Amino acid sequence: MDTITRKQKLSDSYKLMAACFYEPEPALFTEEKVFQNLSRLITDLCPEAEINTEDMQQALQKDNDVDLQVAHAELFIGPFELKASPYGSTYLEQGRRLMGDTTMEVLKHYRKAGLEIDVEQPPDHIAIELEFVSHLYGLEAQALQDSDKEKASDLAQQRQIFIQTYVRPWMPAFINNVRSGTEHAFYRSLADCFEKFVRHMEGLEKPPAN
Amino acid sequence: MKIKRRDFLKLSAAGGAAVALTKGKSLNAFAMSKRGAIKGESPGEWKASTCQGCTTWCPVEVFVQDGRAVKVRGNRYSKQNDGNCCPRGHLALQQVYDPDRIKVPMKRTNPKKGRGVDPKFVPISWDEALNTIADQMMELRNNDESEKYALMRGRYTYLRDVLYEIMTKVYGSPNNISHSSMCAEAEKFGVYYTEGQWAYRDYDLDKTKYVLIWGCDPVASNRMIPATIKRLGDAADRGSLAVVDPRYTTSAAKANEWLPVDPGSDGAVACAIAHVMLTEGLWYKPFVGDFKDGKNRFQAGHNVNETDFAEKESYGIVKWWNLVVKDMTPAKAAKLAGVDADQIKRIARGMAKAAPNVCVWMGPGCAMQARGAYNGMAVHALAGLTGGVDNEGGSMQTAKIPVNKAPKAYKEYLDDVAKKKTKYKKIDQRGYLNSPALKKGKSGGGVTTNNAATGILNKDPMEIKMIVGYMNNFVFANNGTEKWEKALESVPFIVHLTSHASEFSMYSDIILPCRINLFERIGFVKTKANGYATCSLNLNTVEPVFRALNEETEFPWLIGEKLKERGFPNLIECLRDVYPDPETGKKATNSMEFTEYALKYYTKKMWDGKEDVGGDKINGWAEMKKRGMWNSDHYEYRKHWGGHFKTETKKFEFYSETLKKALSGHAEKHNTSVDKVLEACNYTARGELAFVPHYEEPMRHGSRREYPFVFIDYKSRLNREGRSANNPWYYEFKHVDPGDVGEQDTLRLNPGDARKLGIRDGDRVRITSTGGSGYSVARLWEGVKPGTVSKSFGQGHWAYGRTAAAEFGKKERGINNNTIIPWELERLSGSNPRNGGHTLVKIEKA
Repeated sequence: MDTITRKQKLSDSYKLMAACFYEPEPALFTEEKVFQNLSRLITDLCPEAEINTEDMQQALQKDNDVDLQVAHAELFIGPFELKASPYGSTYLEQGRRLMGDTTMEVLKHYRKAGLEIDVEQPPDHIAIELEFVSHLYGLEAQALQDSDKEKASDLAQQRQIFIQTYVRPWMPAFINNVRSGTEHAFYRSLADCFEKFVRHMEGLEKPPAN
Repeated sequence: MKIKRRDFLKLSAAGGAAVALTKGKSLNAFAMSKRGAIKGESPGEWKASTCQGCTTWCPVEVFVQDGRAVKVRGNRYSKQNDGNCCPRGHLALQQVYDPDRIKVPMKRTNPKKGRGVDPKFVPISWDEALNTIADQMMELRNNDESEKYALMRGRYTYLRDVLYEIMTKVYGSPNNISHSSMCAEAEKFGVYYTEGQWAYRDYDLDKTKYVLIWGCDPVASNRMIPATIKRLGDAADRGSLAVVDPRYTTSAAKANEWLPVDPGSDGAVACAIAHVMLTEGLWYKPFVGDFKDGKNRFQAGHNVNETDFAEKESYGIVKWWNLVVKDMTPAKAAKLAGVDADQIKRIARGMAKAAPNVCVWMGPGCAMQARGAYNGMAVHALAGLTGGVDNEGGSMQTAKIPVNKAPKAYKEYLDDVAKKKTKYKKIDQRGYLNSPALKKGKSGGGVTTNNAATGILNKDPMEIKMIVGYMNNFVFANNGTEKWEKALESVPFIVHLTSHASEFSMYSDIILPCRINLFERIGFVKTKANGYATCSLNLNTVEPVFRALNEETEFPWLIGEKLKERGFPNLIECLRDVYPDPETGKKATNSMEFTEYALKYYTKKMWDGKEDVGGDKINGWAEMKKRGMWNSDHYEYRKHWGGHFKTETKKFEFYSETLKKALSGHAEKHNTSVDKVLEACNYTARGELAFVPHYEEPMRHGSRREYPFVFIDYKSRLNREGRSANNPWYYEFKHVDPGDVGEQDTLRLNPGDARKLGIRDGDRVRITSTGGSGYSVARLWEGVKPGTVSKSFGQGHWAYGRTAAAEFGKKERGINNNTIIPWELERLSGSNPRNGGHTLVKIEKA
């Protein structure tokens, strides 16, 4: 696999992992072959997580939509308590609150990249952060395609800093919360898959300078 | 959060080109910024709003940076708080950014309702939520059952008119039920039936020489906290401070006298203070008057001839003496209330010496008891005896706040169904024989919130099929929670408009996210403190992180639109027509425009310059919003002296002709006697005693042998009403309440009592009353009167956020005081006897 294709696939896999944390829409996911695509990408990039994507697909087909929605809500929406808060600041800062200082730092990264948030959510929602990483990988692939090595290098560094500072530190606790917060097969499998994915991706990232 | 762009799910690598990514086509949560790349952060600014963490309702300012609230302070223009706020304002930051807030409309998928039953909520669109609600409302109307709809109100702004009043009435239901009687209606009763004012008082701390605080801790709770924090120390330096309260409060710690009365026995002590003042000739004669010959005939145990006394600003002093005060000696009161008779004498003499610059600061503690209405009258009567009523250095009513009333034109939109059904009896049974709720002298004039559960369960006066509750949690905040649980279980369709899901949401079918006051919610309040009346705006200093409603205006508007689609246009047409923009006359076209026009309508006299209303001069709406508030001129003292009190006699009444008329009217309505009314309301007074402040033996639930302690509920200085229970700081800093310990739900016991029970500091204990039981952690503390235990209200949630509940739906964190306190009412005012005096408990080491 050449570097550009690899970066594109990384971009795609981050994007589809992000999609898994949105409200579940089995019909849409089936139509868009989300899990087949994710399986293919994972097989290429992170073979140890392949079995989990298959489990996710099976769970989605087997269970009824309401149970899936309830499980998603209990983990990531509430209304009573977030069993697995999807917001970075609730892990990275004291006081378990949204819109913390780290949230605003995350927002600065987005703004610096010329992006603005287009959903009613705090910027450090897991799905938004993963999409941002996907976006940076995509830009890097394009820069490489354009033979702009300097830009590609800048983007890689930007991505590494973002992941190391704002994503990686809360992943273990988040994944544990997902796993312990539900009995639903889809989300149990997602936790397993995402954990392997995160671990694998960490191996690809160099520690940031300073 | 839904995937909104299908392209987001498509692979870029599949086509072998990365180009699509860079144009933003496959983004979902992002859009390409039109401004391009942005570095750094904005400098931020202070924006005005109102804190409603307690009923001080402080004008405040919020520092906002990059759309995020980061700090809170008092409003710089406020003459009440001088630019300061109490800990509640700061604590609110954890409330607005609480990750457990409701983020989207949700519906229950589990039809079974009950404690411990997970509603299994799932997100739905705003449209689905509103359509479902409108369908339910139309079904009731089409079945000629609109009276079976009830609106239950919790924390409001004064835009409440729209949701509480207009929407309910235009739709066609009598059942708009407020939370007011959960707070302090019995306290207002005491003041109304002596002074003629149904409201809280303001206190002139800058000029007072004696502060008698009774049943509250005004540096921690009650209604002018920042002003009191700043001034109480100076007042104590200038004169004296006495505290009557069974618990050792912060104020008590700084006081010259702490008089720890047995809960509910306050009337005895107040009457005994009066006894000392009268027998020793110490009453304030320019207010009360004197014996015609100047010779004091008030001698213990002896009647006085009424004709010998010439009153000035008051009425009935001799009647009161003859009926009650002559026999309530300090020794007798000391025995009834478990206090020191010498202390009663010292307080009476101290107050008299400082008269008329005396603040008799009555809090709910003495009045919000099952037989507390007469306690409230007795305590406030002391303000009359010292001349500290409506006077310099004493208690004050309020300067006028020139806001508009609800536009009367809304009544034109009531159809025949609505006209008929709004006259039906209400579900709280106000005005029933055993529920007089005598607000402002009218039988059934006030709400009896806690009795709504009775009405629902008994389907009397009607069955309730639909409830819309807003910013309320009646099933947690009313005593006798089990009764409410059963009542709500029986209601087929409930909508909860709230910022945080709570126990009330557990019984709800639809929940809609609402804005949090101080930061997001739009409205206005009227408040007073430190001699100034204020109109303070609630403004959206930040936009909600998740879409949320201004429920008092936007919900009626949005439902109005949906009802129109279903053939009932009255509500939306009413709102559009009666609240045009007062500047341009333009009618609103959407819910936010409507909210702004309504706010402008109510407050316009203070900013449109068309009328001299006194106070701050504000040049236009833009300036009003920027300042966020208007101050009145300073309160005018003694405006009600000279025969202008709003009582039957126009005087301050020690013998209440006003109450006599009210009780007699209620009795006549039920074709019975006043004695029978009092009997039905659990009072022991008969005959003339019904019309004067007096001591009533406190009602207690349970036997002393089985339940040896009286349970006392109090409010933490960190309670943002009931809404800070999910804030981690609430637990971390709980030790700021004297005798409390951080990170636990503390039951405070006197060390002597604890020793006898073999309980040590930090032991887990079980508290049991006739109403319920639960677990808490013992704290041995001398600031609790032997024979009583005290515990702060606020903890014990079983369905709130992650911090507040131990295990969602199943296990409380601590124990709710209202589960311990058995269901009860103070019936004359309709109040919840929330301070717990009727609750006997036993304490066991767990």
